[in-house]
Amino acid sequence: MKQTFTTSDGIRLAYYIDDYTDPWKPAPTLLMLHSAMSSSKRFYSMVPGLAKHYRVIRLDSRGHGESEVPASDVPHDKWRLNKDVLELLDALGLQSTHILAGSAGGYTAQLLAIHHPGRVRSLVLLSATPGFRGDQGKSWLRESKTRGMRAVFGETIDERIPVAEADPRLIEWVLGEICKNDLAWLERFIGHWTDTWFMDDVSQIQCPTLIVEPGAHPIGTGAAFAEMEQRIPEAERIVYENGRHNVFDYLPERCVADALAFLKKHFPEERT
Amino acid sequence: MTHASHWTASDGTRLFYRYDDFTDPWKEAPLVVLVHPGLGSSQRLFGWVSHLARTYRVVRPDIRGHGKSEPGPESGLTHERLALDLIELFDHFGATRAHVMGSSAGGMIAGRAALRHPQRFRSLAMYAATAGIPPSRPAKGNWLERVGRDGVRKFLEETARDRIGDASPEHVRWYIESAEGVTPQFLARFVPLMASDDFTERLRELDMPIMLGVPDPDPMVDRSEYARMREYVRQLTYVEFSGASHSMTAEIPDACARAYSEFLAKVEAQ
Repeated sequence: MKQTFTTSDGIRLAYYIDDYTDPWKPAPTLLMLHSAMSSSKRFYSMVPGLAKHYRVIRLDSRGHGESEVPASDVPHDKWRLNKDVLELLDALGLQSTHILAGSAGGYTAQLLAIHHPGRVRSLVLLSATPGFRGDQGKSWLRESKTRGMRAVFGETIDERIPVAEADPRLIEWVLGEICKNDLAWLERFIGHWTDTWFMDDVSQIQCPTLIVEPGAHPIGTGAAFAEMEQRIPEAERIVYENGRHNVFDYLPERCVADALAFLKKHFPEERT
Repeated sequence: MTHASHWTASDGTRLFYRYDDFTDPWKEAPLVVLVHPGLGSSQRLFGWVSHLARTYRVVRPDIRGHGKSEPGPESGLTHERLALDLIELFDHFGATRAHVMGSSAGGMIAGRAALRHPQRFRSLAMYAATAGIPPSRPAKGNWLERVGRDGVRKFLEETARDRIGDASPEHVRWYIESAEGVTPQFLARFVPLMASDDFTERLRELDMPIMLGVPDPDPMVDRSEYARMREYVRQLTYVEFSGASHSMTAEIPDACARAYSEFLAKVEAQ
């Protein structure tokens, strides 16, 4: 069920809680942060598997899904995205949480673990490097402005979901969801991430971290995943051979199984 | 997507359900209705949801007089009315047919509804549910008398072991609290209704896949009652859960839901 709260800069954000853990026992919390051009909704296929063991919270990032799109004069940067998450945790009375995040959601997740280590118990990073340096994101936006999002993301969808393997109806649905986004907001949101790279800081991540690397490296910097594993003290990395970027959309069962195995290994006391 | 909501049955009674749906948005996923036991509520079956909701649209109604559902008019509690509560719920979700699982009294309601509206049922599953209650059973435990005298809570506390076995104290407390909304006044109507009209032999009229999930041994039900049902079911899937107690759908939901998932997959593949 959708719930909302208002951030300290006045933006109404939507979030969802799904919880199928035993109600008579305390349950650990898992926060899901979605990628750019996405929403909580896109995590639907991962929820039942996770919510059996964790109280699952999904936040619609500002400007995405059911959350308000900030006006153009509202300042925006990565620190504001960090605050959105911290303010949600505060509103829910949560000192700390596990985080499972896809792509840009994983940029915020890493920055939270670096700068607010007490609030993050672990990270599961699906196709998330330390930022999105380079021209790729900027070119999507540039092209979308002239030719439309549908054309641009339709042509490049195989970078996100393997066209030869995946259900065409999934692809169609994901494309439809991508195109619901506000292009002016994406220019600010993605634009900021394309100017961000914090590889030098990831060594400060103290919590157990699972890096899921899409093996085909269609988006971003492929070599970054191995470097993250080197630098993050408690990191482990799984490569999905020939995997495309949006593993969270097209390999949900595999992502859930790997996340649960990782969490169980590092947090045996949270046996659920 | 999940939500919980009231809706209005055709006799004007406000009923309540919980809905959980994580199926692929481009698919028309089958509807599965999970009906809780008497002296319970939809909360009792929460443990089933994560096993089913990725593949099916899962609805858990509160039976009238239970949970957040109103009891309805005093004279209106009949087998037909309880059947319509289910069928109208299918309509509410735009489903011509549905799979229905009922636990204990919920299974009796589902079975009687299937006999009245067989064309609306894709399949029927009855867990720890007999096809009626022999008059001796509630009399044996003085159910109504005790509930009337002591209240629902005390009655459940005193019979918890037969119902939910060796569950932890916290689990038992939750079990009792999830009987919210049930009153002795309503049970005085509901229990005799459940005990009337044994439909064991009529099960043979049902030409649909039927699953019987049976706790072995059930401290509250004589084995012969389940054994008799087996004789009359034509398309039978029979699963025994050894060591389970009568309220097994709340005691061991994972094992129950896994067996039900397998049954549903088999039915859907036909």
